[in-house]
Amino acid sequence: MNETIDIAKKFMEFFYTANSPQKGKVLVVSKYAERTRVNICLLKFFLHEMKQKGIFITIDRPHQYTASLLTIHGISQENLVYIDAVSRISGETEANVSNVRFINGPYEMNFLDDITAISFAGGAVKTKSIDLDEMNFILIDDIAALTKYQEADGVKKMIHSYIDSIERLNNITAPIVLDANQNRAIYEIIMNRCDRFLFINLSKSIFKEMNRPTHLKRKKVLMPKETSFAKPAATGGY
Amino acid sequence: MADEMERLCSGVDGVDELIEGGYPYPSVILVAGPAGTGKTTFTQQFLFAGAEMGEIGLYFTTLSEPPQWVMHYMSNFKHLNKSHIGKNVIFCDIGQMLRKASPEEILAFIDEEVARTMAQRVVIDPITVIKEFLGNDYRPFLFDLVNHLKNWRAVSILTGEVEPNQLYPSEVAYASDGVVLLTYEEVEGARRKYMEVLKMRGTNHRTGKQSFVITKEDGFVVLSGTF
Repeated sequence: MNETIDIAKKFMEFFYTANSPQKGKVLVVSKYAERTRVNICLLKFFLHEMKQKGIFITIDRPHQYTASLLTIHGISQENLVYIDAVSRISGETEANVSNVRFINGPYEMNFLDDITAISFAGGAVKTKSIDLDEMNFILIDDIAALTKYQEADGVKKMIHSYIDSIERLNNITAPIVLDANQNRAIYEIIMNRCDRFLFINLSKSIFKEMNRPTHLKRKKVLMPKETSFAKPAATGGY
Repeated sequence: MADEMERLCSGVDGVDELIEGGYPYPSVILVAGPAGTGKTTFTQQFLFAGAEMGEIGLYFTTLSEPPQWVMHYMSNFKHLNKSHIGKNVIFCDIGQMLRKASPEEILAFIDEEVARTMAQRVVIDPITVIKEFLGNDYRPFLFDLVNHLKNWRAVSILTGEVEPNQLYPSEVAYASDGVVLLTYEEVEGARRKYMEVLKMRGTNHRTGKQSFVITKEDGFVVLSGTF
């Protein structure tokens, strides 16, 4: 986590102008294998450095993994609310923790709408409401994981619904972290709807703001070659 | 609209071509074989290849063999960059812990180390030793371990010692996403080493035995062609 010292400065330059946060939807492009580290860096920046309040939506794995990571790395979760959409389908026990809201999983078409419903709900479900006006950021992990549970049309609707929800909120910063090679269709949808673009490669210490990407370079995938049946050498050798 | 699966390179020449470019990320892979087939070398190359790309690798040894002894033999391999040790390749000896800890404590310790380092590559070498300490708790422990390792978002290689007349340790194979078998066979008077990908979920992997060699210069190298 030492790298976050520099990254905090980079995030400060990117997400803030004259000490005022820049709101809106930000596509953060990074390798999937660095997703955990990038998410923790973002959470550390918003929660620890900037003392902001936010929401962390988990689709790909139960929230406990992120909660453990934040604890181990000394990042307070006092100002973080988890929306856990995966624990109910993965057999995890629903912990009675004040900062976690469990919702029915990503099989359901409107689960992102449910978040808004939870946040705006009053009356009987008042205790579960989240005051979105108090929130400064929202982070989703991992929006591309929706493809595990939904057909393409359903995924597109959910993504648009999520971004529509963000646009209704004027006071929120919403980084959407995605690997450009992970899912082209999702990447293009999100790219077209985001306001700003950031490229991060932690392993190579690359951190740069990008223009809206126009050319998508496909990742080269090695395909298995046809099986051959060469005989081993007659003696020794191997 | 299905995801294009992220893959991490194996670090072993000739293996990635067999499995569509690398191990699915995240996943748990069993590398099984009898003593002397090169399981530890195979895993070291996996960790050091990740380190070359800036990834973090975590190596748990379960044999109470201190890391210096693991490295004593590995240091013969010229292609392993020793400057990664302690930075991007981290060694952790859990042998002593296995003698007295409960399954929950072992799992919690592994969880904490993986979370602390945020490793993308994890090796437990060998996993089969744990069975001797856990007895009937071994199978549920394995399922929990595999689930946790994938949720930590790592490609994890578990090595398995193979008993005589056993193809692979079945409990681990069942829980794993991939199974790579290392064997040696006598062919025309010479004992030769082979690897075979028996299982790799989400992957059109090549089947059949592949001959391999281990040299000081290049380490573990799979030769082209199927035998």
